[in-house]
Amino acid sequence: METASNIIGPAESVLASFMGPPVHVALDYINPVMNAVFDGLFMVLSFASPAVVLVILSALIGVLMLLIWRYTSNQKAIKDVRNQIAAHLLATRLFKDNLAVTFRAQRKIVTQALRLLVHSIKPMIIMFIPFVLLMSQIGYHYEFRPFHPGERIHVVATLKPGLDDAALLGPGSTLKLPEGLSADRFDPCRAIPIRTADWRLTADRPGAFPLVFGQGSDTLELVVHVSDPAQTDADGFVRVSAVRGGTVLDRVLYSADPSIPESSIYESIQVRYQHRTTPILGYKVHWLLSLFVLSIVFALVFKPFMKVHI
Amino acid sequence: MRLFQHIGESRSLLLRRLPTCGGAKSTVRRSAALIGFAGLALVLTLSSAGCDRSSAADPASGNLTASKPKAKHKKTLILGCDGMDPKLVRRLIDEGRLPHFAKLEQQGGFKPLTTSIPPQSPVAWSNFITGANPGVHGIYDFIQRDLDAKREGANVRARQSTTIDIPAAEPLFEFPLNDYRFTSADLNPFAVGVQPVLTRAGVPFWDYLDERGIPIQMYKLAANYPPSESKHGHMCCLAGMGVPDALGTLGTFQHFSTEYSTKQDVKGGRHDRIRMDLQNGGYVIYLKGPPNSYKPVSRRTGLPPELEVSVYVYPDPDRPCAKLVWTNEGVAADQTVEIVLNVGEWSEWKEIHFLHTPAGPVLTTMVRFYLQKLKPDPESPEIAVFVTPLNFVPTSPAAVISEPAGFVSEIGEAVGHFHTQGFAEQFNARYENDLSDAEYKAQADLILEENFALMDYALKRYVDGVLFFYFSSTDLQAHIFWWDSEHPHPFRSAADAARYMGVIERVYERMDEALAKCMDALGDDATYIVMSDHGFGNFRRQFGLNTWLRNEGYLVSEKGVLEGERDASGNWKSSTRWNRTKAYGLGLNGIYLNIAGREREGIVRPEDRVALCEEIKARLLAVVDPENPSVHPIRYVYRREECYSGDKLADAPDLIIGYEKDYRCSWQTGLGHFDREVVFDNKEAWSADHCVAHDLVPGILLSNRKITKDDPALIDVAPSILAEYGIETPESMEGRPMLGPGGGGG
Repeated sequence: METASNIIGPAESVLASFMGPPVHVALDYINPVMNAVFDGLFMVLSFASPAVVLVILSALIGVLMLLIWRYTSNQKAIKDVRNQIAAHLLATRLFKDNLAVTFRAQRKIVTQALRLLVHSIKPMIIMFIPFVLLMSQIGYHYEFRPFHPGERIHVVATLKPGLDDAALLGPGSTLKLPEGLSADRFDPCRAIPIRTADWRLTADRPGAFPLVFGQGSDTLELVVHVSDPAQTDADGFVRVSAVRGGTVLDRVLYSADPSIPESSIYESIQVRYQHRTTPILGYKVHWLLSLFVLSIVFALVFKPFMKVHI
Repeated sequence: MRLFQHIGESRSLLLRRLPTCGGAKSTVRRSAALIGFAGLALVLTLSSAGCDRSSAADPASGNLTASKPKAKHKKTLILGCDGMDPKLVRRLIDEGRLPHFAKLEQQGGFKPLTTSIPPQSPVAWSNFITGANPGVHGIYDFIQRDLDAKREGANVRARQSTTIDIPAAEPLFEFPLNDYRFTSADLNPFAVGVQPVLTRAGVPFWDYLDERGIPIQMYKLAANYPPSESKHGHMCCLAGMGVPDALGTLGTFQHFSTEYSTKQDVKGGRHDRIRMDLQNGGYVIYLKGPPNSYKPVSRRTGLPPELEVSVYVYPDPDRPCAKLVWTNEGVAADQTVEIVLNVGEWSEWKEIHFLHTPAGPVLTTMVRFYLQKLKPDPESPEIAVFVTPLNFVPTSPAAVISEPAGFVSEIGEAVGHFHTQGFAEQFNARYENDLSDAEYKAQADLILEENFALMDYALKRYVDGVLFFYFSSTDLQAHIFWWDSEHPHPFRSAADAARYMGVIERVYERMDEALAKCMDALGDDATYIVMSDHGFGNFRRQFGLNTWLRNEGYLVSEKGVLEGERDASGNWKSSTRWNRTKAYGLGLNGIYLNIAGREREGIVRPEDRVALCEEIKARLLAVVDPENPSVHPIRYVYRREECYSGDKLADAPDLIIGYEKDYRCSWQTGLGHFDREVVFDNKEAWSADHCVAHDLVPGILLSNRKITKDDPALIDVAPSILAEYGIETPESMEGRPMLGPGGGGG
């Protein structure tokens, strides 16, 4: 499984040091609400396959984008700018024999395009955070697929830096397994230099299996989802939270769970799920790209009816 | 439309003078757009839903069969079991251990299948493919004399028989950038790199089926890399034996150990030490890729430095397991990969990415790791990690290994990663004692299971026409584990030798299971052919052919036929005195004469060729084994014109040697080297072979059709397949159809 922490380099850690705590706190309040809303939404949409749901979501997001744009942007100014651009474009066509007019019109087109960009900044900024949260929620359902019975489930607990080896060899290596999950005979494998304990688990049946890491008061829970491979469509509506804790991006993109308390010895807990593919028209495109393209297409189609200028 | 709509609404003076588009028309178009988009969304939705149910979305669901069209053509299955021996098959059938083989025999027949001369896989499978002798297809050995050797100033070079590489054109210019070296080819999107070319001549049997619209699917076909083109689009082929690894070799494993002090190249692999990672703790191994052609050439080695990926090994302090971590560098982002292995455990396939420059390209490969030894004692750690050769990733191979090129990706999507390299079993690692018998067996069994998964896929995909499936396990497990001699095994006790012979028997039983799967899938109306390219025998004694030629005065060389060095001015200085050399051995069964006008420094007059051949032949046949003077190590020697005919005859060795039972050419002979003695014991783990006289190691032919020929041969199989579809034996083939009607019940 690729998580943000293992695909992004030092720049992200700098970002984490500034934004980490506030983001974690904010998500602790936002995620439960969003989880409940999207769990309900996906339950309602469970009549359709994941691909169909993705198309429906794209349409809803397209409409939502238009609404936000309409009420957060200066529609009149955008309309004027667009008209100006159109006019200057026409001028370049009509007066193509007059170089002076053509160059002046082109210069004005560039100027108006920059103005259009400026007018777009405010709605884009306003849209950014809700859309990241939306994408995260959709991602919990589309980025990874649940394991299947018999598949190997790789779980990694990473301890905070600065702890002594005993923390890793003792409480850091403690995992309480629910019935239905079994661990490899030598688990966990502890890598002291990088402060990780790795388990390789196997489920003997489908289900949601809570893993409890740690001892005493310092325990953390993360649920592992295992589904029946024959019911592939049903997989689409399981919310898979692959990480607990981790970096800011891990938290935003892959973790629907509460943050790890400051007092805990754990930095993160990760379950290495397999990536899911949701083919559209037979093409295996990443769900985010499908959603992005489809929502823009829907927005362009709905734009004239909602009388929105973009 | 959008432009004029804006214009119509504009208050600009300029715009007011312009005609506007009618609003009604615009509305109609909007509605049309909306309806069109709704339709598109519906199609999208429905098609997506359909895809989800397809096998592509979930190969495990087995839905490939659900959408299969109805069969239009006859069904023919060919199960190619490399090296399957008729003696052992006979015994196991008689013991009731191969029930489905027995069923075929009852319905049709079972006969030994005359193999090729010499009985080597590339030659034999080329006989099968073309229905013709090597004089037609030009494949005579694993290793052949390179006819282009003269270009490089050498008298003789060796090359792989079935594939040659056409080098890329010299770039027009080079330019440095930072630490890298770019060439004009990097600026040319149409530049062509090194091109592998299939040297096999003749017409493959599938061409005749292809042109008649009969579908052909072949999996892991030997001696067909790069895969030959389907001219009419009805042939799919996944190439097998002959497909290189990502280093361009036939398979280079990498074995890392704390016991090694330096890096060393060994037969079919590399040894390197595991180093302490002083900066981060743990240990590190450097996994080598191919030379980075974007780096300047090193003065010391004459090659650019190799691409490299550092794999960090973190042993658990007191449990027999370790975590391996590496970073697959990419242009946009890097990806860290972590795996955990217990001692004695093979990893799943894991991708290894080699980034040539920060801007790319990336060579994507995959390997399996094996944690062989782990004692992380800080004072004297003992750690060993074995890494398989760098295979191409089936879903995005860096070379064309199937026809059509996307066929391998389709298979990869459905079944996951599998060995793409032709020789997947790590026999060279066993030869070097880097893997024990048990470890080799475990690795070879992984390949057998992979092939079963491929076969499941093939059977689901198959509708009609010809389906060929190849298994290597019957050959490459036999080379290591076969022993049925009354003589003691080179290093195994009698009990162990018998136990490991049992491994081969188990593999044969698995082939019976494979046939059972096919029979279940294809039904009773299909034609079944189970065949092998040759049989097997013990390899107890070695014959140093070049040593004998040197002792007899035919070959004058210090270090070996191909050895030599370039002098300061770049001229090749051979270790062989070609002006005194009449004959030399190259490959496993061939002797070439040093003919004037053919070899650059040839001394044998063409008119003396036959006489010299007869002289060498007589003397070779007279050689006796000093261990037992009643035994002649060489059973037959043929002049090439005695056993071959065709357009490619000139490429053949002048003499072809058929060794007696228990004998084979020495390990040093193949590449023209010498041994201390002429006849001596083979003490290697590779203790069985088939590169002997062809009549000692026939293959097998089993079919549910009556076998009408008394002595069917490999070259008869292709005409028989064509006859199944009513195609007369073409002129390009020498074999004749040999299958009659079924014997009932099938």
